[in-house]
Amino acid sequence: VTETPFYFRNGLHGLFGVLHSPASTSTGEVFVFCHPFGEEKLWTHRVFVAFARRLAAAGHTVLRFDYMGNGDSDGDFADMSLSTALSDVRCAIDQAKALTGVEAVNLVGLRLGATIASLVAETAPDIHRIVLWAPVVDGARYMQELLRINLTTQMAIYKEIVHDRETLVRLLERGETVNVDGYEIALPLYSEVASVNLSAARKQHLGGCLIAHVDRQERPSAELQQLAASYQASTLTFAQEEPFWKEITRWYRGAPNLFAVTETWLRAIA
Amino acid sequence: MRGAGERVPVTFVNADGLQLFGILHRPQRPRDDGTAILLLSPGVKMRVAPHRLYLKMTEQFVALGYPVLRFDFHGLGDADGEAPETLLADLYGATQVGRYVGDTVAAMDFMQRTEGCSQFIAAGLCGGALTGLLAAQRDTRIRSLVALSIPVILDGSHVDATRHMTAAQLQVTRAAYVNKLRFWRKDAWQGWLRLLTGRTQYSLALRSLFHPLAARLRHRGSSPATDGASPPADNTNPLFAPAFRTFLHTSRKALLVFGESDRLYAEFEAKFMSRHATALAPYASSYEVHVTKQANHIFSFAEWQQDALERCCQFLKQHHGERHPAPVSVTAR
Repeated sequence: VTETPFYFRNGLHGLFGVLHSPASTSTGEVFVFCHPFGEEKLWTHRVFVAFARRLAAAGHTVLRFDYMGNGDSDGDFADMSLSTALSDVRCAIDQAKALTGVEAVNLVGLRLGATIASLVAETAPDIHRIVLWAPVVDGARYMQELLRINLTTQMAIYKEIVHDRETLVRLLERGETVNVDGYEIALPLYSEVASVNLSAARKQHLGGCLIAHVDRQERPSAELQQLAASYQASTLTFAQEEPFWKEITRWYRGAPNLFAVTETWLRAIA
Repeated sequence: MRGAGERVPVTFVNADGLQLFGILHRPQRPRDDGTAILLLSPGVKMRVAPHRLYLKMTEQFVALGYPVLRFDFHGLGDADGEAPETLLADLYGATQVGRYVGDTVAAMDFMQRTEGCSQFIAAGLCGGALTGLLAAQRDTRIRSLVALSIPVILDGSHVDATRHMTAAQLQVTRAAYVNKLRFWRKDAWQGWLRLLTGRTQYSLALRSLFHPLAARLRHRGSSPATDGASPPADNTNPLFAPAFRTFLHTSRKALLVFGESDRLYAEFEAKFMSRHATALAPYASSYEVHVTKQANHIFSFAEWQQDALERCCQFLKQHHGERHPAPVSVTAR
């Protein structure tokens, strides 16, 4: 297995990627990974690396990459929006196809990365299968959770809420940024993500879709069931794992149950 | 990121043969003194650091003419190997006793071999800062230390940090408990519910609530100053003081930057500075402690980052001079 780090361009920005190539016999399957947002990306980095290495060891090719303004890619985070992320994924897909010669790729996404993978698959004919790990279904609720992080920081530092949630939204609308765990969020990202309701519309994607419900305990998730029902061919499965995209007591260098259910599904529909 | 020079993904191996991964930033007009900056990984958050802090630092340092290498320690980021711990606290603890010193030496060897750099400034946040200090004890190629939020305590799943809180930390905790339980607060019922249903950490609550009384009874405030020769009785990292003293004793310079709201700053003051005041006095001109007002551990807000990074750049200019650009080679067309 070889890992080749490189930069590729999407317009003005260089995007950082790592191509995992199988050692000998390739299955011809290519996967592009879509990472989650902000600090979730950093907490889950090693899980992504571990899964990419497993897929490569099984003969698949994997491209991991960072969106503009994220990780090692060029650009400022404040300039990131859902539109720029969708464009970056589209660019990464083209890059993966050019590097490997395949005509269709698979997408693997986690949290907001899963949401992005799902949205890309709706408009791209060259997506084979998509794997959605703990997707963010309700974008508005997700953005509220991010604003709450800002409030928590305010409480910790100032012992009071200086700017409440409504004020933060007004600041965004005035063209300012709101800080979430050190990341400056601007209005385009906020409004575009907040407008996403992933389960609302019937999906156009015809390939397979695995939706993994990742939780400490198995319990029904109405929104994931609704999301699964919106696909023409989907499998909703459960993987018992900690919410490893957050700061938890465990050090997550892999997600064995999540990997197992995903690999089983990939083999089953190969 | 703007103006961070040429960036090149690089790999090199450590003494155990594990491949480490990093991004090397080469300034357009490098200094001519062979000095490079190593940005040492704070741990899980790898070569990027929280909210891409290391990219922001890189941009500033490259503008001063320094080549900058930010890289992943083994078992983290994109490097080979595994960090075998199952709990984050134990991973932090392993970092604090120097697990990644060898990787830091390997990074210097790589930079010396490929870029011709012979002296280094070790910089980093939290565990990265401490790794730089511990590496400097072993390797004199490290001439300066730029340490953000450096920890002086040991983490680990076996360590009950609440047992070793400083007086200041106990005061803050006490104030928080008292505030949550005030009857006239609208949400006081939530605090009382937590208390009465066993969801409160009773040992910590009692220790903090009765801390003023206990302190008066014991007639003691903070721990007395020592020469640092005796091992600390609490969760203080026994490696920190000797490493810091060695660093200063060998005429090297250190900048320690803390966020005012960071518990690590309170621990640094109570568990290191106050205990070693006498021993540190002769070296007062060799180190500086800068505190960014209100800032937290990771310098989340932009104004905190600006304050901390400005001080870092001033320190570099003060102790390593302004830019000394290498002569630009002119190629005939």
